[in-house]
Amino acid sequence: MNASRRYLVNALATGVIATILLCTGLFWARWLCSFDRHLLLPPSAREVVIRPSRRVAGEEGTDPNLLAPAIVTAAMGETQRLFYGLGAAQYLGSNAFPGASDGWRWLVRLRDEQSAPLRYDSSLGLFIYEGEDPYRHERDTRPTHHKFRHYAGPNGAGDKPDEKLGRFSSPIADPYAGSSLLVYDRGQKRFFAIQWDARGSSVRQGPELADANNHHPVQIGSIERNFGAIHMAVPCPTNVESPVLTQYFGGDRVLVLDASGRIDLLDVQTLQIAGVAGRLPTPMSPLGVARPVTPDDVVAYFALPFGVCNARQGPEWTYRGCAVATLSREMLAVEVACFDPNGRVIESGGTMFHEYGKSASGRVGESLRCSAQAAYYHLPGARSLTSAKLILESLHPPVLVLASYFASPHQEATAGFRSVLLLPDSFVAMVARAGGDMMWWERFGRVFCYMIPGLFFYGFLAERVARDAAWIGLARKTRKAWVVGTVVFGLPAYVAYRLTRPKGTLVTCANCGLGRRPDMEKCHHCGSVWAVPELIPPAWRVLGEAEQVEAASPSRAEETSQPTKSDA
Amino acid sequence: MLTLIRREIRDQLLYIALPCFFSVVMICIATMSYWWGVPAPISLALAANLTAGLFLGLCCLGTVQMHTDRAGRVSVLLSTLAVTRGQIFLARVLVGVLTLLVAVIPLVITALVLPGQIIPQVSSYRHVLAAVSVTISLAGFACYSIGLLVGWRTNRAWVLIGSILLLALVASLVWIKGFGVDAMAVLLLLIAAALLRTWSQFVSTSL
Repeated sequence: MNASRRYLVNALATGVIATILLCTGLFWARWLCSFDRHLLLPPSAREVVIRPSRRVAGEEGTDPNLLAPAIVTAAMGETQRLFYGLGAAQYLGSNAFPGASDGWRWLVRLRDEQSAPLRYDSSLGLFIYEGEDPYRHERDTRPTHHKFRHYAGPNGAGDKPDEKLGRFSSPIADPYAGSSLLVYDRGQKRFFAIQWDARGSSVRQGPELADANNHHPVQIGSIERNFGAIHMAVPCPTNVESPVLTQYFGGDRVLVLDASGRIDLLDVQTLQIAGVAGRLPTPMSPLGVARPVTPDDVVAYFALPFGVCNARQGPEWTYRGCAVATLSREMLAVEVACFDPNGRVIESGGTMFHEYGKSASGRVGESLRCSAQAAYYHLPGARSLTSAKLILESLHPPVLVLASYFASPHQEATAGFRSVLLLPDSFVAMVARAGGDMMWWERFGRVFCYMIPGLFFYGFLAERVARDAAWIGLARKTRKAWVVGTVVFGLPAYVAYRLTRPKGTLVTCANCGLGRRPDMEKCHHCGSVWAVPELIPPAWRVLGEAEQVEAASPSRAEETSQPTKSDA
Repeated sequence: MLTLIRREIRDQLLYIALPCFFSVVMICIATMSYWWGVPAPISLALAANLTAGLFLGLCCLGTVQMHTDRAGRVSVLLSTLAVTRGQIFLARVLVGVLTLLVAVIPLVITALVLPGQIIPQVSSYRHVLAAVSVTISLAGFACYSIGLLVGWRTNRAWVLIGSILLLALVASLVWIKGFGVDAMAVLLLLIAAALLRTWSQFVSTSL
């Protein structure tokens, strides 16, 4: 390997190390900012309360509290939840607690093969249920439990895996389902109902979804994610007689979350979508209105259906709607919405910060601000944290900041908690995700504004690199590469340059007087070659008297023609 | 090569034993809690601390290997024999790999034999164990590589500060990225880059 190739390898390796380590350091600094920002929120700004029953007007004599809940509360989890978003905790959490994170998408990973009653075998394409039959015991004897194992595919169920049962391809199911399981098969685009029974399990197949292109179910039954990061409650009055409005336990309607964020209502009897139940509400972003959210755009969500039952837990249930709450990416805003049975919003609301003071118009009083915006701009200390965040993002490699702009709309919400290189929660990424009617040039303008401090800084560093590289005599192409590298990759490129620049002592050029590299033939400033003095002995000599006499005698001169040590 | 490896092991025996010590501690705690029937396995915090000790030991080994060489000019002496610097470096790295394997493999076997004692008993335990073992091994080797990189400096203060700082950053990568493919990719990239830079510096330094 020659010197130039080794220099290239060395520079690249140093750049990679500097990028990874610097980005890791910056990650922790940004994380600390997020943690501090979360602590800024007062308890009142962490909770939202809506009263939907005030908004409904039923027929005369109808109690509005039987049409919609009197009160719905939603709150964000404690600040320590930020720890659980980090990769190691998230990994162990998703494996230890099914449904606690985004692990619900792959049912096969949720179930312990040894102990759980239900699992999905992807090689067979079948669901396997291992249960106990508690009824198989004779009278007056100790109860005996008969263990059974059943397999279920789209075409039927049996006690042995069989090709006749068919194969599910990428199915989704409710991880908390008991003996009756609802499955959606993405390959066949239809719902299935599996009833596990020791005497013979059965599979019921629904029709293919009528408008399959608009339906992409991602979750069935328990519509929740990151349980613990968000709390929601629909309090049930206990001091009144039946009927009361409470959590819906009817078996004829099940909520189905779509990839678009819409929540559909599944008719369990026909296994068809009966209508729209609601959708995930959009939490406020620190930059203002965000676009409608999908399940991947929020850190946590929770949907709770409610209905009326004459006798509690009885068979006669009437579905009245559902309440849905979401938690924003930054974990700074909760949005809750209450929907009627037709999927129309009855009432919605978000976490707010109550501020007392003088408004811009000079009026003294209370003003409400979105909790996310308050945590960024209005709470004491918020602006310092926002400035620190902007500085830290400016120190990030500009190319990665720009890449975050393009990647962030496609990144999952919790990715920001464990993303070292890309910045899904940066200001630039927020601009990319911002809703409203914003033209592309307006977006790029805002992105450019956020990147200006970093670009100025790296322009300054690039200028320093160019000057230093010229001083130490790097080739023109190498200089250009370092300058471009510093502007594109920022601080890591600068660190790599400083660590790999040729080290050596410069010597003064005899021609221009500036420092020149001793290992180069020409001076890199003036181009002059080395001025090597030619050692030609002079043709004349100054002779003393004694020497003149000796020189006059030829025989003597011949004797002394042999070079002496001093002559040499 | 074998002679070089043997010599390297003999010279750094104490530092080779350091990561293995943390591994043995973890195995002992897991085994004793199993024998005594203690229901709770090693807590995550304790496991994380002992793993950090493992990383520290590996980083120390790398640092000491290079710093001893730089200070004592060991490779200069060895270069007078029929050995190239590339071989010396390779022998050094192989010793690091061996140490890592000696420290990690018994841990994995213990976790397999006594499920739930070192890694919490979670769903798809073997899948989790494989992912955690590979990621921890890669992180350990990354710490070792960073140790090699930092150890080549002559200034002791820089060696100390650099080791601690870089070790903290590399170890925290596991905490940030978790035990998935992402973490493995980043760690592999870091290992490759650190080894390349160390090799480049080691080979090009004048005798």
